[in-house]
Amino acid sequence: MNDERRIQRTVGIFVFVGVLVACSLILHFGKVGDRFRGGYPITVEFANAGGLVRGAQVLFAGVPVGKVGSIRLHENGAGVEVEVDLFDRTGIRDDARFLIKQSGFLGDKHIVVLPVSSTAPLLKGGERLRGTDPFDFTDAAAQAGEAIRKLNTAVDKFSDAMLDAKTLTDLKSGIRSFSELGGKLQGGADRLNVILARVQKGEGTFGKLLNDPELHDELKRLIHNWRVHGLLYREKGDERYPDPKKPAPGMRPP
Amino acid sequence: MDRAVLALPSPLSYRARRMERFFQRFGAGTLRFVDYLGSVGMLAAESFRALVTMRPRWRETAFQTWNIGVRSLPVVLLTGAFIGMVFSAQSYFQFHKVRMDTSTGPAVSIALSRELAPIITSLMIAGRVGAAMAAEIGTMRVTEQIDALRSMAVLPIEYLVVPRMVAIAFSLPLLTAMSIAIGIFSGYVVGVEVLNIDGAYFLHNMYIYTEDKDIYTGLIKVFIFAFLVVFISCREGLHCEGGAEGVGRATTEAVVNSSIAILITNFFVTMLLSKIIPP
Repeated sequence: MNDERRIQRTVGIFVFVGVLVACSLILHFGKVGDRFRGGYPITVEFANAGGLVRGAQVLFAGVPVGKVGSIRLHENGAGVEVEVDLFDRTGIRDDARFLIKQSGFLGDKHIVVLPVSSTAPLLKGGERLRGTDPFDFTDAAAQAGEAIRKLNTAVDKFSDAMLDAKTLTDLKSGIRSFSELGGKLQGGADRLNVILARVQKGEGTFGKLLNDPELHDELKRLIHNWRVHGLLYREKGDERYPDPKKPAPGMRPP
Repeated sequence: MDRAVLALPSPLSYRARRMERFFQRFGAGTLRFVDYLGSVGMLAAESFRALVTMRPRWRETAFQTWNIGVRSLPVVLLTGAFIGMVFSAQSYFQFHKVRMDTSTGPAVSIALSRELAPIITSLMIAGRVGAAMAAEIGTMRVTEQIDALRSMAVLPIEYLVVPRMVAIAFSLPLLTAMSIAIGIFSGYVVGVEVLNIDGAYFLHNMYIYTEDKDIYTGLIKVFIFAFLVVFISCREGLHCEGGAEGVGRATTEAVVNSSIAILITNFFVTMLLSKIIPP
């Protein structure tokens, strides 16, 4: 092989290897493989995209299932439409919740899909969903601050209107009277407890009356006689209370 | 007495003469710089015109590709590998302080793709090839071989510059791609095998955060630098005067001017590309 031929061959190998390396780098870091992976797009609406960027990951139970395609403002200005390119056979159901979360030291944003049920129909391409808006510490702090401010205002108004010197004196005397009344009631209740205990034991007139079984039987017979003699209401034909003027069945008149 | 006093230069006129000399030098330097830019620009224009209008010299171009590309391969791979290794180690030392060891991967790949490999490769080529071009053409110039070419109805630019221009414009991006690849590989070896970074996350983070536009940016830059090196070096050779001493001076100026031009142009190209291909 002459020199010229050798140079040509070496140059050919150099160019081939160089182009191969350059193309490999571009194809690898260009994630070209991802572009040829089958998938379907869906649109998720958020009130706030929260710093999400195109190409951010979509994780389902921690597994990458897609990427953020495009982010655009909603036509009516009500929020943001995020196009999510989901890979095939991801098995996400249409009641799943889509949230924007952040990860890593630098707070990179990504979308997290949370499954809700295992029976809802699977998501199809082109569907629109409403995403769960990210928790915003700034908004929450602002709302908490507003609530605290309102509470302070209400407390101040209550304090100004109700807690003047006269009201406080009246309130104190009222509480004192209420306390005394409570003490008296407590004393009454204690005495009542003692009486009830004695009644339960059958002590005293009332206790003996309540605990006497003979008196109970006599009272029962008295009520029975009143019904028999018509002093108390009785049902017609009620055999428990026979009419004393009628002869009993089977008996001949004298 | 009065005449002697009048003959002495006043402080004001002395200062004025110094200012005059300063502006004369500054103006002459500016004019030389503008002339220099003009001669490089004219050479570039004539080279592109010759490239379009004349039949390409494939054999000469292949020889120059071998000379510029293949013969520069060892030095480019060696520098690329060690740049990748040292950058991996330095990045690790800083990231380790905040327990972000696995961020070394993307730092190495992005820095190599966007800046380090293009600049180091271009400077290596300017030093090795630019100097050789200036010396070769300069020697032909002082030995009147270029005049001989003209006498044989061969346009020197078409014969000497165009094959070199095509060869370097083609070779430098390929050399840079190889430098990026070897730099990433050596950075991985140092990071994972020597510094005990988790290899899976090193590669995963590199894959996630490095994009194809990082590679494009580096390759577009070196494509521009290739023209700077070839036109500046060939210009020095074609304007060489004064025998062997002139050839030495032309060689030195070719390397120095090419290197300065690469570093200055790098900043402006980076700013321009950041608008066209946002990082």
